[in-house]
Formats: sequence, C-alpha cells, structure tokens
Amino acid sequence: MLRTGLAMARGRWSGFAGAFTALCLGVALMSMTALVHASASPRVPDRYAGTGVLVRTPVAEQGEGFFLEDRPWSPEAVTALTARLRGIPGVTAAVADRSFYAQAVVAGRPVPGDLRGHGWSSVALAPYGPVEGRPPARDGEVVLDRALGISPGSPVTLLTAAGPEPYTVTGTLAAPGFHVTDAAAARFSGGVRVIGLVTGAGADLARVEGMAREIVGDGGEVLAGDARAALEPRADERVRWIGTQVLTGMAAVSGFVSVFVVASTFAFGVVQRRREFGLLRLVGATPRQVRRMVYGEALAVGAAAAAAGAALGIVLAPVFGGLLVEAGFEPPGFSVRIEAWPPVAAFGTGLGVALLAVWSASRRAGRVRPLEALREAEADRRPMTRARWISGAAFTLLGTGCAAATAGAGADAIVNYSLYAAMALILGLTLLAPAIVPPVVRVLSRPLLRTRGATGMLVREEMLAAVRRTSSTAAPVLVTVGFAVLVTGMTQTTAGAFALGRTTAVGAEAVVVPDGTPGLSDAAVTAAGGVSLLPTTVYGEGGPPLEAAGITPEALARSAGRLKVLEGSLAAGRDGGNGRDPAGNADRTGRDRESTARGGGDSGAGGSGDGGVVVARWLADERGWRAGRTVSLAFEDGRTETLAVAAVVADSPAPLLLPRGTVRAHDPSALTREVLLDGPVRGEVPGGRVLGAEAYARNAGDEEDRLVWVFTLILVGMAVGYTGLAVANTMVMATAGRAADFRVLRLSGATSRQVIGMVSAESAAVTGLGTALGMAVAFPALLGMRSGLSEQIGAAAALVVPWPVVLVVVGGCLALAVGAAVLPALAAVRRAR
Amino acid sequence: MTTPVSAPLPPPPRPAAEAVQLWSVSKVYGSAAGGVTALDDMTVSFPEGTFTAVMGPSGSGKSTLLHCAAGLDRPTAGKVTIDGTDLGPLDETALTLLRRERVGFVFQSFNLVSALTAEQNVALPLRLAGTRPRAAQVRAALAEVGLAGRAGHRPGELSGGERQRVAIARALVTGPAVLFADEPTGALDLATSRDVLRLLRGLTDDRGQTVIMVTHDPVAAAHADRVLLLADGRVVDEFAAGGDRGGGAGPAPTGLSPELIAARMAALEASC
Ligand SMILES: Nc1ncnc2c1ncn2[C@@H]1O[C@H](COP(=O)(O)OP(=O)(O)OP(=O)(O)O)[C@@H](O)[C@H]1O
Ligand SMILES: [Mg+2]
Repeated sequence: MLRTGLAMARGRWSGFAGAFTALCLGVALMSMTALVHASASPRVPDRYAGTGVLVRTPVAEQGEGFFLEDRPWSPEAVTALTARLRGIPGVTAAVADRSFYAQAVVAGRPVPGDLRGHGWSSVALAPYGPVEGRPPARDGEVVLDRALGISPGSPVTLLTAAGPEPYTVTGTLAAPGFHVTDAAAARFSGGVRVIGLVTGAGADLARVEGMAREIVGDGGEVLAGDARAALEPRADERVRWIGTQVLTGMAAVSGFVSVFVVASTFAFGVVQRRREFGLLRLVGATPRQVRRMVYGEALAVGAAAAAAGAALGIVLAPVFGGLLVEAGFEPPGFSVRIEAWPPVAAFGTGLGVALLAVWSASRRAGRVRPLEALREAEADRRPMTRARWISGAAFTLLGTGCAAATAGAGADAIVNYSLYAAMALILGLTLLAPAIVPPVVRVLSRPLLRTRGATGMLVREEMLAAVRRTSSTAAPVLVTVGFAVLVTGMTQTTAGAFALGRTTAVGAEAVVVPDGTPGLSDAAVTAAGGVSLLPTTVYGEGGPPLEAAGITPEALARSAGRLKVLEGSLAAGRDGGNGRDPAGNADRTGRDRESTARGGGDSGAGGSGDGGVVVARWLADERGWRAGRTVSLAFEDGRTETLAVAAVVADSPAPLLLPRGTVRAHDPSALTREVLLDGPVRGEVPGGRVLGAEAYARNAGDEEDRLVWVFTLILVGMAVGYTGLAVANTMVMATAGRAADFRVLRLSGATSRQVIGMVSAESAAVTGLGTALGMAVAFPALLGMRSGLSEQIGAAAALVVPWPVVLVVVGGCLALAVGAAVLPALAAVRRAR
Repeated sequence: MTTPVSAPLPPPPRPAAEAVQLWSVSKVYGSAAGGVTALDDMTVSFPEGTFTAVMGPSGSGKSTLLHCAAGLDRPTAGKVTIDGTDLGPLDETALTLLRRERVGFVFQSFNLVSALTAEQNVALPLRLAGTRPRAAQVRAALAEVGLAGRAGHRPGELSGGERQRVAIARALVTGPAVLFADEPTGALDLATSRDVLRLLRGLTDDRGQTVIMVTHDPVAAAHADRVLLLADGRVVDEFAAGGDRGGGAGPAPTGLSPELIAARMAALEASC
C-alpha cells in the first residue's frame, strides 16, 4: 500500500515540494538553534582565567529575566576576608576585584569595546602577557588595551561616570579594559563581589579551596575549576538570556509556520485529489487505508525533509552563531559545539510536525466517498464546516484578546504577546477565509464586470467559483502581510508610545540620549540640566536585588502627576532636605558623600532626614513598606542605610525612587540613561546627543529597543520567508491543477497571451485580496492597541507602521504569486499547442 | 407505472441463483419534501451468470440503481443483497471490503489512477486487499482483455478503448461475483465499443460472469440476455432473449435485436 502511495506521489512531486521545503527549512532552523542553544553555556571569564580559586558574594535567587548584580560585601567584610584568605598557605595575595565604567575618548569620539575599568592588582588574576611600559602608580595614570593604538607616555581622555578626565597612559596590555591604581579603582567603583586568590607555584589548589571554604562559610561562595564560569558578568548572562529568547521565538515561529505550511499544502492536495481518493475508495480502499496513505506520503516527505534539514542545520549552526554574536544576542567569544542530540531531536520534531500537520487532511481524505470519483468537476460544496466556523471564530477572538493585552504588557513581553496575537489571528482568519472570500471578491471585482474584454469576467468568475482555491491561495498572503504589519507595527508603536510616555510625563520637549556610550556621565547630566533618573541596584533584607533610581527633588516634583501617590506625600520626603534649593543637586551630592563617610555605613542616620524613599505599590505590598516606616537598604558599595518611606505610588519608573545624591554617594559608577529637557539644551553635552520629543519617540534608540527590533525583524523575516514559500507553493499547485481548464480556454479561442494575462491578473487579484484581508486583520488590532497605550501613557500615541517593511513584503508576495502562477501556466499552454 | 406502491413484497427468488437483489428500494435525493425521487420502491433481481442491460431516459434513475445495487450509495428505504449478503447493516469499512471482494466496476470515464501504469492499476485492488499480486495473475488479466503488451503504459498513453479494457481487467482481477458497468461505451467509437461489448459478452459466456450494464445504446443493449427499462425510478418494462444464446458473440439471434429494443424504448418515451 505504501508503495502504491509512493508510486502515486511520484507523479505529483510539485505538490510536495512546498511541504518538503517548508519542513526542511523548519528542521534546519530547529537543529541550528538547538545546536546554538546547547553551546550557549557560560565560560570562565578571561579576567579570572589565571586564578585557580575565587570567592564571590552569596547569590540571591532572581526572577526570570532579571540580571541584577548580587549584593557586594561591606567594606569591613572585604578587609576582614582578604586578610584571612591571604593567610592560607600557598596563597600569595587575595585580590579584591573591582570594576567600574571607563571608556577612552579618541578624537572626540568614545571608543566602543570592553568598557570596564579595574584596579591594577586585578591583572594578577588574569593570564595576560606582560605590560609594555609600567603599571599605574598615581591618580591620572592608566594602563589600557594595546589594540587602542595609544602608546605609553601619551595622554588620553578617559570617560567615567563623573565625566571626561585627562589621563596619562603608562603602559599597554594585550587585554581589554582599563587598569588604574587600586586606590583610584576603589573610588570609582562600588563594592567588591569577587576576591581572587593568587597562589604561588606548586600550591595545592584543592587544599586552598577547602581552606577558603572554611574561612568564607556562608559569607560567600568558593569557585574553582569549571565552576568559575559562574563569574561570567551579569551583562553577558543577560545577553545570553536574550539570545535564548530569540532562539525560542524562532523555534516557535518556525514550528508554527511549518505546521501551517505543511498542513495547508496537504489539505490543498487532498482537495485537488478528491477524485483520485474517490477512485481508490471505489476500487476497494477502506477509509482507513486512504488515511494511512496520506500519512504515508507525509511520513515519506517528512523523513526526507527532516533528514535534509537536520544536516543543513549542522552546516549552518556555526555561521548563525557568528551572526548572533554580531547582533549582540550572544556574548563575544561564543562558538558553536556540534553535538548529536540537537539534530536528532530536530529530526524527530520535524517528523512529528509533518504527521501533526497532515492529521486533518488525512481525515478529510478518509471521508471522501467512492461516488466522488464519478462526479464532474470539483464543485465547492460547503467549504465551511461547523467546526471550521467555531474554531475560526475562537482563534480570531483569542488573537484580538492578545492584541489588546499587548497594550498592557511590559516592554519585554510585547514581542511575545504580539507574536501570539499574530499567530492566533492568522489561524482564525485562515479558517474563516472560505466564508470571507466570496463576498469580498464580489464587492471588489464588481468593476471588472463593466470591462469589455473576457479577462475581467473570467477572473471574477473563476475566483468566485473556486472559493476553496481562492481562499487557499489568498490565505498565505493574508498570513504574510498580516504577520508583518502586526508584529512590526506592534513593536514600533509600543516602543514609540513608551518613549512618548516618558517625555509627556514631565512635559519634555527634547531628550538627551547617550551617543556612543552606554550611559550619560554626571558631567553630561549637569551640562544638559533637565530631569533624569540615576539607575542603581539596592538590597533589602532577604529577597532578590531591587532596581532603584536616584531622582532629584525637582524631578520628583515634576513627575508627581504621573506617579499617582497612594500613601504619604512626595513633598514630605523633601521637608528636611534641600528641596527648596533649586541648585541643590551638586551640593547634595557632596553632603551625602560626607555624611556616609562620617557615618561609616551602617549608622544610616543621615538618610531619613535627607529625603525619603518612594516605593512602587507592588513592592510596598510585597514587603510591607508602608509610608512612614523606615527601611534598611544595602547599596552598590556594600554599605547599609536606613531610609524613611515617604510615599507609595501607583505608577513608578522604578520599584524604588531614592534621592539622587544618596544613589551617587553609594554607586560612583552609575550612569544616567537619558535626560528629559524642557527646552533647547545649553551648549555641548559630552557623550550625548539631543533628540526632539518626536524623534525620540520614533527611534527610542536604547540598546534594549534595538535588540527587540532586530529580534522582531528576524522573526518577521522568517515567518515571511515561510509564508512566501506557501504562496508560491499553493500557486504552483493551483495552476498545475488547472492545466485542463487552460487547454479548454485555448481551444475556445483564447490566445496564449490571453491565458497568461488571465492567470497573472488572477494571481495579482488574489494577492490583492490577501493583502486587503491581512491589513483588515492588522489595523483594528493595532488601533486597539494604540488606544490602550494612549490611555496608559496619558497622551495620544502615534500608530507607527514601518511602511518600507510592509511594501517589501507585499511586493515580494506579488512577485512570488504571479511568478509561481505564470510559469506552470506557460508550460501548460505550451503543451496545449 | 405497473407496480402499485402498496404491493406486498414479492416472494424472494431462490437465493443462491441471484447475484444481486433489491427489495422495495427507494432513493430520494435531498429532503423528503422537496427531494428528487430517483428510485421509487424498486424490486428487482439479477440472476447469477446473466448479462443485464439497464436502459431508460436520462434522469430515469439508472445510475442511481447501479450505485445502490453496488453498495456505493445507500438507499433511502429497502434492502439490497449482493451474493446473499445484506448491505444494510454493514458499516463503511465492511461495505468497502465486500465491494472489494465481490464487486467490480467499470464507468464511462475517470476509471484509472493516472499516475499508475496499466499493470499497477490492475493490481491496485489486490494491493488494497493486502495480497501481494503475482505478476502472472495481473498479466493474465491484462491478456484476457487483449492488452498483454501495454502493461507498462500509463493511462495517458492509452486510447479510450484501451483504458476501458484496463478498467475491465482491474474490475475482474479479484474474481467478483458481479460486474457493474455504467455506460462503459458511452465515450467510445463504434468499433471500439463493439470490442468492449464483445469482451463483456464473452465474460458471461465463458466464465458465467454476472454483468449489469447501464446503456443508452440499443446496439449495446442487444448484447445482453435481458433488458430492464426504467422511467421515473421504476422498472416499466423488461424483456429477455428467447432461449439459450449459445457461445457466439454478437447480438442474440433469437429476440434481442437493436431494432426491437429501440422500438420498445420509443414506445416507452411516447407513453410518458
Ligand atoms: N447527487 C444527487 N443529488 C441530487 N439529485 C440527484 C443526484 N444524483 C442524481 N440525482 C437525480 O436523481 C435522478 C436520477 O439520476 P440518475 O443519475 O440515476 O439518472 P440516469 O438515469 O443515470 O441519467 P443519465 O442517463 O442522464 O445518466 C435525476 O433526476 C437526478 O437529477
Ligand atoms: Mg447516469
């Protein structure tokens, strides 16, 4: 039976080519992403590779998608620990490793690369080669990467969180980063999270590790050997996590789309082959045998395609890995290891997808009755079944719901929500297409009736008579256009709206954003004026690290409208402080630094008088941090302060808002993300560039938004590639199935030019129909989302549709559809002559 | 117009001698109220080893009779037996198995799977039954219809008559109790039709094959032992060849001449 199936399949390879290609690509993608995913494990950072045993601070569990640094040791703990660790036999030094933001400015431009500064003693932890020149000996001296091309003795401008400052290069290393004296590093950085144990030659590392473990106790974690990979920077870990999201998204989309393409190919094949199945039933095939035959075909096509795809994935994985690093989805130094299980798993999934996709087609084939072999041309009786109505409506509703939910989702969830919305809407509309197509065609094609030539009439009647065929061919165009418009529109509109929300909240007219730097230094913030947040991480007792932001009293006052105070008051927090002093910013910073220095950290007495903490509602609920209470918070430098809760607010840009001075005093390396301005900026902003509010809303260009956009484009590109395949495939199948019609047309006097003209016109019309339907799906969803967003940010969000992307997609569909219809038609017409 | 609707069921004829029997079979297409009655309480039987021609005006229910008798379609009311088996209680799969073993079909067109060769087409019912077809068996079936040399050709490479003969070979390869043919010569020219009809006649004469054939052509019908005339879903006339037809092919010498059949048809059409 299987052999018969294969023999029958041989004559119709074109019907399977689409399914084969779709599955092959899908499996290649799965095998490729799985390989990349399996290789994406952390490595021991180069900076620590020269050290056998390291100690790090205790790690607190964080929520999915959070990559905040762990709480550092307090300065006292660092002193005590290093002293005791140094006493271990065989250990020559215990190096407290410090990192801070530093970036070289060459010819007025900040140079990208590894933007971390460290104390000179940290060099002992790395297996770097010798320094050319000499180590830094005093403030204002730096050893930097030889690759920068600055020779020892030259001056260089170094940008730190404070601002640009002149330095002298005393030496160069064949290693990334900037190395200053330990004293300077201690001033620039917050606390210490890693202590490296430098060991003498021939030291027993296992013994050192054991003794370190005894000394450290619960005060830290001792890492040796491969476990040192846990010291990977949190930023790399985050990049890796984003990479995983991208891979998962790609795998999900390719799985969904391959099921879709394979299912529609087989479904369409069954429609076209009703007579053949009827004949088989007539000759004595049971419904089960017919079902099995369809499954057999899917299995054969699936196995071949999956095997080819798995192999292709192995070949492509290293290339793809390189691309991911370039796009910023994997940390530098990432490479792909080839293992057996990912391609094998992808092969199995591919087969499963093929069988799943063919399920409904096989059932339909099994229901074909023997008498259908005797019917004249296939009439589209009852193209909609009850189940089709119900599931189509259900998916459409679900999709609309997801689109609405996108409005309320956080920035990172938007891509996923819009993806779900697109998938559900697409499924729903594809199911409903046979019901929607005829009335739409009838309305849209009315003008054709008035034309004199035969083409218009033929095109209209052909499309109407073969509802199933028309909807089968319009469906992939609908999917392609709908998907592209929805997903790109959603991400762009939301990103724009959030940016707009930030500016409207304070009535900003312009925004200063970093230019070539990861953030704005204090010098830039001061030069710009305006309102800004200084992000940092704080640590309450128990619980994961918390994001917090420093804000000046003026900025707080101006944001009051947006924050929606639930308890306490924003003003109360400033009563004892310098809130009335408009120029208090720099002043306060100085005083805070003094007070913390005086208080020696844990006293915290200075905190409450200086300005309170503003707590977001969810955090207040979770921790019981009500207005009027005091909370004890540890900071980036390991010191602890007790602060009063001034207010609980409903809608805060960060879980905790702290006085900016307090944040700066504890986190010398923190960078400002953006500054919102009332009017034009006075003078130059070093390391920043000024955008008008609208330009800012349009290309809110921070790194995260950029990654999201690249991610979106990858997903859309993939989905569109697939559905383009489906467009071409159904067109080829549909046209090949009509060879007889074309012959009849030719015999009734149509020139081959007229036949080709009719075919082109028809496929263009079907593409137009699909595009119209796709837009009809996408725009209501986008408009709904926009109104939700507008309500949320309190301003009219603009609907951003990336038209170039849409145009490329529609043009591609048109070219594919016409090409895929005309080529087989040409062949058929030629044969007819 | 002869059988009153209220007539009692006629006594069943000797079971073993009947290949196919229909008792009070009705077939209504569409809903009962506005539906088309294609078969109206028809009772008829087809004895083993006979060649019956079914004739009648277009739309008189000939194809419907054939479909119901062959188990391709289910009657709205009444009972059908093939080779003594009642089709009523059988489910779709059981019905398929019965058809596969006891019934062969030949239709006007759309008979062959175009992707398969003549040989593969003939072997198809055997494969479907799960038996591995012996090449000799398939070749013999093809040889019987005079196509021994064309085994490897696909339908597209065969003439209409050859295709029809492949279809007959396929219908016979399982050794069915009855062969149904719906206008098997409808699309063929005179000479080719005569070949096909001689072939069918020969099957009944040589192997005692039961054949039921629908046709419009009095010449074709003249090859049969018996002619049923249908109108409006009822059997309105029936006549048989007188006596034994002997082994010869061609129209029976004793009764069934095309002229006679044409005359009876004309009479029927005039009376409607
Ligand atoms: N599937 C169907 N649905 C509805 N009505 C049908 C169907 N098939 C047949 N009929 C109707 O039943 C009646 C008998 O049809 P049938 O096909 O049996 O006629 P026929 O005698 O074979 O005609 P012809 O000689 O033209 O083939 C006709 O009136 C026809 O319109
Ligand atoms: Mg008929």
